[in-house]
Amino acid sequence: MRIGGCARYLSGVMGAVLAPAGAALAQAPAPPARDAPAIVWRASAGYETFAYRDIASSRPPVDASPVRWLGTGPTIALEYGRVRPARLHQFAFTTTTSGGFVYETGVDSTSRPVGDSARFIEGRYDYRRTLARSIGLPRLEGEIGARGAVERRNFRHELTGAILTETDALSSIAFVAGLRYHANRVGLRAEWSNAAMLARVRRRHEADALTEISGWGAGWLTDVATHIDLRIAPRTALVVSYLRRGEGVLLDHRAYTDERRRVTIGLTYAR
Amino acid sequence: MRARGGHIRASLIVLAFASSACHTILGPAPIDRNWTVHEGPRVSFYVRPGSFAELNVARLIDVLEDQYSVTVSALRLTYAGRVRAFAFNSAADADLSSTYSGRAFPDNEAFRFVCVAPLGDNLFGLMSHEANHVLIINGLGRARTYFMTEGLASALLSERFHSAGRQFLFPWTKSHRSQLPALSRLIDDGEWGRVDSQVAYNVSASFLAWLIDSRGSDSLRQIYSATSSELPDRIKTVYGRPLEALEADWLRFCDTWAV
Repeated sequence: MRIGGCARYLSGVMGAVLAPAGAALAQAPAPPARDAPAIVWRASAGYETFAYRDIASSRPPVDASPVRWLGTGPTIALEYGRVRPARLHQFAFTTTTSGGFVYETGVDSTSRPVGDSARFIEGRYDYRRTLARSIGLPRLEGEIGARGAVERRNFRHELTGAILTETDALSSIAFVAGLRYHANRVGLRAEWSNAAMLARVRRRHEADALTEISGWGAGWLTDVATHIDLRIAPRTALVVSYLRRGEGVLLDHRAYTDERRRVTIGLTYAR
Repeated sequence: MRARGGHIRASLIVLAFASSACHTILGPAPIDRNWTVHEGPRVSFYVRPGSFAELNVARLIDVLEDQYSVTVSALRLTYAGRVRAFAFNSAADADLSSTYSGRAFPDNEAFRFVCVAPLGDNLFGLMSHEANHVLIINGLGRARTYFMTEGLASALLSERFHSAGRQFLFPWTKSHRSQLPALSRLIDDGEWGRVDSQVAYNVSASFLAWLIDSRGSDSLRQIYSATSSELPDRIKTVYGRPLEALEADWLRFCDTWAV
């Protein structure tokens, strides 16, 4: 009973892959103490596209640039979770570097200087509760939670005759809702989160003269993520994830919106 | 069999949940793809196929290339990037409130505007104003008052192809003396939005055009990035006179302007 319960809630982290693996978990040589949380590690890597659009009017409908500053690059993520019945605590660290930038207009694309770059380092904490009430289908579970995140991002934009560099420090607090479905060796998870952001921005404009401006701003963030889990061993699962993130940052005399699309593949290990 | 049907239904629910969340109220519209591109030396024009803008794109490029040269020269900018101009067929097409509207996106080196007949002062002035935002902000960085941001974009209008610059601004100032708000009000970002926008744009442009003509652009660059609260002291330091004294000089100049 205890092991079955553990397996059920591990699915919150591992996308239900381990839910049918209750028997396998039961074979673990040293079962955890009754109140000890299950520990889950996940490492993944992949690819992210980053698209930045200047905003002239942030009131809906948002008036964003018809041109996107679009870059791509590798992303690496490491996650650590502590799972108890019906609840999850998870810490994650993600770093992404985007390069190979272009201006993309929908009808053409123009390469940007190789110095154009965008770098992101994000740390976040998730707390989730599994909904006790059934949502209508067997093996389909709902969950809600909150997420706190901090991110540091650096932009470098080499214009002809001027260089823009920017360092943003953002903190956000999000409401998260999720659905989870699992069957045999495969699990499917979807989650949606909306966050309010606080931003501290330092921007440096270097041409024949140098100007530096810093200030506070606010923003929003929406994540839509899906994960497919495939159990490949009793304690190990392969996970493929897709994240689509939309953001808006509103500052004094300036605003921007960006979109990030991330595909990663990785491994989850539970003990 | 029943289990398989359950899996499919469950998967569809999960996917529907994810896709319905994609649309957020605060997100931008997707990139518009209905454009034909015409290249100038430093400007790329994106026009609707078969539109008024496409029929006149050669003239539009000429006007914008001239404006580019004038602005860069007036402020001694090192910026030399390619600017992308997007010409919309109507206010509705551009999702803007009026035909005489445009928006600039300096970080993406682009701007958009409504391009309708006639091919004259209003259209050229609007287009050049928006282009100036891109040129000035990428050349000098962001200004920190609406007074400077909007005023300078119109103050530097070239008049080779139209008369929406000084030829319009100084006589307009003279003829609207009784309606002009004090500059001390306009430099305050908190007050800027309370003044009729056309008046605010014209007054700030007229004053800054006079300031550049009479005192040069080097001094202007020194006050360019000041905030509302910093600007009065910065003006006094750079020009040696308070804002009110410069305002009086500017109004006297406009009063004597002969058309």
